[in-house]
Amino acid sequence: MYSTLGQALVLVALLCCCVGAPLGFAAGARESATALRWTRRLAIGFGIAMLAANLVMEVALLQRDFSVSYVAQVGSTATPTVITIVSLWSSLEGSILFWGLVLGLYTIAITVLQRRGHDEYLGYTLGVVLAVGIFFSYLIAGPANPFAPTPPPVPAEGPGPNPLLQNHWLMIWHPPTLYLGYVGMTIPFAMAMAALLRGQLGATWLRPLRRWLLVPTAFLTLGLMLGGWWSYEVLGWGGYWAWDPVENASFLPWLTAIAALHSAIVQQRKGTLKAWTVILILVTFLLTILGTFLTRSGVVNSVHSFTQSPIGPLFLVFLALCMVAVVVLLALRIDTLSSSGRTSGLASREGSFLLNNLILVSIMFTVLVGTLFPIAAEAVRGVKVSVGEPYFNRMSVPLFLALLLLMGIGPALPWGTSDPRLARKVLLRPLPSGLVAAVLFGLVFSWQPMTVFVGFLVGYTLWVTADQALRPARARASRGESLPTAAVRSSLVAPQRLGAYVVHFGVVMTFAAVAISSQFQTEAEGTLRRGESLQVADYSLAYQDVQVIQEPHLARQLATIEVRRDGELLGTLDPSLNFYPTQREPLGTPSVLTSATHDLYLTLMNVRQGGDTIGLRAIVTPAVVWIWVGVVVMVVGTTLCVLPAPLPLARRHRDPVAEPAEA
Amino acid sequence: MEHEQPSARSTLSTALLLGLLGLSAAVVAAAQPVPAPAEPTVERGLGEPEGAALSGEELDEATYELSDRLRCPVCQGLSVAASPSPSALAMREEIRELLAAGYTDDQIVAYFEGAYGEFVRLVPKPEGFNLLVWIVPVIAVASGLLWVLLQTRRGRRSRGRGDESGEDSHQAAEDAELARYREEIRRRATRGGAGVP
Amino acid sequence: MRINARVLIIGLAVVLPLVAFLAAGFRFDPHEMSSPLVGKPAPSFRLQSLDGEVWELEALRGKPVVVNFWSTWCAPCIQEHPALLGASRHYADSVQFLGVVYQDDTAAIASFQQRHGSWGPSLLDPGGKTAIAYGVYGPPETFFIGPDGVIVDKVIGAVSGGHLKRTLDGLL
Repeated sequence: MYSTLGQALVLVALLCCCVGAPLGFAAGARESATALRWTRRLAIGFGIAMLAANLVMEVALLQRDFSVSYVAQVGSTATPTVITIVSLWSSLEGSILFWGLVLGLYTIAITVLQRRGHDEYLGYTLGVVLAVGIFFSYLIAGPANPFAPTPPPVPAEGPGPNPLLQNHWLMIWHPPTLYLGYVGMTIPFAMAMAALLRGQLGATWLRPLRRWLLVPTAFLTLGLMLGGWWSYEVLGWGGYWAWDPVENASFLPWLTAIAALHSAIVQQRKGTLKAWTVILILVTFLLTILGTFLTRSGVVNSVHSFTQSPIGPLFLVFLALCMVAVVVLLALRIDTLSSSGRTSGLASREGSFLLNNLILVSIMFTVLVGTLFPIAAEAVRGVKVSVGEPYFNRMSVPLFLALLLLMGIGPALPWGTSDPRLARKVLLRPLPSGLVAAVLFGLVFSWQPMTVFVGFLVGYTLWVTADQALRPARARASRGESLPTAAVRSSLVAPQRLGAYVVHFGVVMTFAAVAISSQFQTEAEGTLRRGESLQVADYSLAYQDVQVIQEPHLARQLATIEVRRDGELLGTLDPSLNFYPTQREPLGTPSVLTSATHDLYLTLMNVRQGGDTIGLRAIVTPAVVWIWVGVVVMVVGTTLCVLPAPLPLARRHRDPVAEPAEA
Repeated sequence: MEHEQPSARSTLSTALLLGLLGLSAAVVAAAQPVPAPAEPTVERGLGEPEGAALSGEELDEATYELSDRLRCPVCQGLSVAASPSPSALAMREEIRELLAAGYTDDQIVAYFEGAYGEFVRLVPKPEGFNLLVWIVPVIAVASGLLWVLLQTRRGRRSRGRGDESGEDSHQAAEDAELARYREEIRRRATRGGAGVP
Repeated sequence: MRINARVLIIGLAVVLPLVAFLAAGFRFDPHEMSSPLVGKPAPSFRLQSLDGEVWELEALRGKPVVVNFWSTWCAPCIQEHPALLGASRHYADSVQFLGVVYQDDTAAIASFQQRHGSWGPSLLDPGGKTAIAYGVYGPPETFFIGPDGVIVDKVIGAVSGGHLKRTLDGLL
């Protein structure tokens, strides 16, 4: 029954897209209000059908209706309810259905929220969104149909979802957040395509476009962080980012999205970089499809890869169609978007934005080359090679340092002029702060040149960020308001401006935490008998005992480790080793003691002779927690940027384009 | 032999060992087991050690440094040094043993490469076609930088000539659009602000 | 409508090769690892089996040897077990089958063989050194060694009865 209902709903969604997409294009081309009205209805219809189809799948999962093929594939009566709910996206077909849900929700959101104005762009926008919807509805209806009836006999029990996905609560939040980022890039893509189709990108359309780009970027940022955090808490190697192809795939569109957010500011202010902004947004979307292709096709080797599936080639076809469409449209319309303003010298605000874009795109390109290189090597040399962490670190760290430096320099420079004397003046002011931070880093961590340099960059950038964030407040204060009042009022008037600098503050925090945590790990490894201890940093770790726990889908060996610091008992940690029948190797689940300054991270490597000895690895990493905190700060800042500004009406009247957020 | 013991396996199976002896002996009957020497050995085909034998802290550091350059074969994208998996642990121990015996880094890498293929290097061998993975991004970044420099140069020159035509067309294009929005806002404002988000 | 030829040409020059390149990626299975050892002499070893016998690869020259790395906790190892069992009976006189235990303990191996039968001696590989010498990525992996001691074929993952028969008939 669910099988039929689900398939029917997916067909309704497909139908809405197939009719709505051409109608949307027609509405755009003819500026027909009637066509637009119907396109809107069909877009809502698509969203509701997708929502309903996903609900049907959830009900089937919860009722363990194994006559639905996807439920038979991932369901199990032994699986707890929460895991059953999230198993919707634990396997290929379900994850595509979930993609449909997210696309549907975004479609409803833009149709409802962009009710007023911009009709001339909206037809094309919805047309493009629904055209993308055709592809995904088709995938769900046909090649990756999760609702297909299970061929008889219907089993009474299923295998349950991928065990790797059920052992940590972060796995509940990481995929949906990442999808909200990934799939959400469809909306700015459609809006940029609409601008191309109209042959016009005015400031009035750029504003909502930038906002619709900010939302998925924030989700993508959070999704990347949750992925890193999950990797840290679950995979047991003490790190959070391994430059795995799939991690890279989600990182690539993030980089171009950030670049586009910045170049859009230049366009708002100066009217330049118009075509460039559009290209960046288009590329962001193409990179999400490329990333999905890489993960779903099994072309690259990765922890996250689904097994090779027939939808890989379909994704490639879709990617090819999108790319060709983008290129042809760009060729037809790029001249109408030619930049109108002028570019000042590099030592101006817009010059630093240009460099910012150059660096972000360079990082993207480097990561892309590194990720795809194994395919090239195999095609040309017939040999499998690895391009791993050392490559990406060596290539991208200098670029990231340059980016941080630029984050300190850029916002201090004035718009429109590259007067060397003025530049020198504003750039000298943050120097003391940079020097103080450099000395602090040297004293606290180490006097290695790299550490001191990072400290300098952090101090310098923090000063500039705070200075810029407080500028409107100071201006108010100089007119007689008290500084706290001025700060509150100015941030109420232009939350975007404040938000942008909050984001920068989060970036500095994350950057510093990454730099410190990756440089100053202390590690110890040893084989322990019961009662013996391993020493790492100030910690003494005594092995007590091993317990064996048999769970439905795994066998777990749990070691109890007594933790003392300078002799004082802090409690016990229990790293474990999990044997999943589906994995090639047992997987360790680490046990982590987190504090504000550092983490103690224990991994159980082996248990021998029934627990007489264990292999234990202990890693002390400073500042890890500040990586997550920094990303949360970034997301809070982005939320401020997205909030509608409660501008007084008079001001709005005077300047309808309003104040651009300066990021 | 005592490798990582999957926990669920019961100890009762030690008792089964005796029964098993008979079974495997029957299957193996056709072959010729060799009389027992003591240590299990594997031929590595490494030849003579070409470096100095390491020990103590030096050995620890060299083991870490070398195992960080090799890829853990079962995990994805992790180095042998980083991975907590049993296979990586075995490889670390092997590396340590070889270093302690005086084999050089190059000899050890060659040994692993001979067994696992070039894949076992975490970063491709820097020669021939592989060099592209470094060169291509560097060229791209350099040409990007050049392009940005040229753009800003040209921008300054054109300003010097006082070329304002671009600015005008930009204005013209936006003006029509802006006018409509001004009108819209004025309308809403006269309605008393209702409908302004 | 004027078309900007430069943008079109540059765009297609980027897009089309990229698509062709990605399509080429389908030809390769990332999980398919060809071993550099195929065609080379098999690293010789001297290992003790579960029941205390010592086996030396050198001593088996003159007849084909199948070396299979396996463990009881790997699902494909259990899947391939019947095929190996069948082949070991069929070629009992002409081919030597050797199992090398990969990261597993003796009790588990013994109890497994008690339940499912055994197709050859299970050699213990302390420290996984033999697995490293053979470049084993993970169990199961099967090496076919010719009478001259040269590795002729390697299979990653469960080996099928058909593959065993084809390869071994070719060697005999």
